[in-house]
Amino acid sequence: MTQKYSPYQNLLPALKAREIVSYEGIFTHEAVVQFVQELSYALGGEKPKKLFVVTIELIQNIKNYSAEVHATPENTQAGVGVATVYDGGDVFIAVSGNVVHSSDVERVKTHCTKVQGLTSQELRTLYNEQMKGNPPEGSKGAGLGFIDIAMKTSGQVDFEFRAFDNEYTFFTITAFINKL
Amino acid sequence: MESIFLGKTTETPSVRMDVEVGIIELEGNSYPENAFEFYQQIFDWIDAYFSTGADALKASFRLNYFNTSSAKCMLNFMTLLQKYHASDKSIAIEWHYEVEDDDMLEIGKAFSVDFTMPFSILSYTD
Repeated sequence: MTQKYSPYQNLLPALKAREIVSYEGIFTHEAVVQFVQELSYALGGEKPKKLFVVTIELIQNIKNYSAEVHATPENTQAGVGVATVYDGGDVFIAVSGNVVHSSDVERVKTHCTKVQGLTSQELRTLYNEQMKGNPPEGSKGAGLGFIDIAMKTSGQVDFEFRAFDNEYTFFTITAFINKL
Repeated sequence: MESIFLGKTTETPSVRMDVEVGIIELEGNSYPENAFEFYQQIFDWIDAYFSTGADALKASFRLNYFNTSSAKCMLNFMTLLQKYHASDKSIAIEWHYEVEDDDMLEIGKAFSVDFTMPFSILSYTD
């Protein structure tokens, strides 16, 4: 999977012309809803559910887990990050990026690597098990996000960590959603 | 005990909780900022409804798409209804999915296998 999609790193700058929606900044709940609405407007009548679900997971992930956090008047979490949805021809490409604590990298990497290696049936089984269990440590939601993204993309999801220093690392998720 | 209607928003479904006919209906998208808080008000209503001595409830789910926190809440929803089913209340679930929405169909199937209460899976076209 990584091999198949490794060219995307070089491809993304070229895809800029086909950017559908992009936002960089503070992901408040309002920004999350606005991003989804912008995507909806940009796509016109077309409403690919898998793209919406994956995009929502990615941007709520930034909101809830970015290590760069802004306080809101309502005292809710609002993480800083960047998210872009591209039209890549046969696929939509949804990318999210945010800073995480370097101390969390191993835990997240282990989870994502495990999920990446699963078949669709194994993903469904893990999803159902995880949904019934208690949320994993450090998770504000159900700990299901990356599993759901892997299911909706048929495993076409990559992630990358780029360390700034001992304290902070930049975490990127790139998801490919088939149009058909 | 009052019937409640919550209007649909971009990120939350409309919710009709009707005491007179014993029905609860959800329709729309679900990715609230705090799904657990959003669904708790519905669970509280269900508990209050049965505490008045009501003996039947039909629950209808017609969701377009939802996030994973909402999926977890759906499971809690089913678990709560199953509890009333087990205490001899008449519970009926209708799980609606749009034709070709395999994800929504699969979630419904998983619930229908995991719970013993009456569970119908119905397709619709938009």
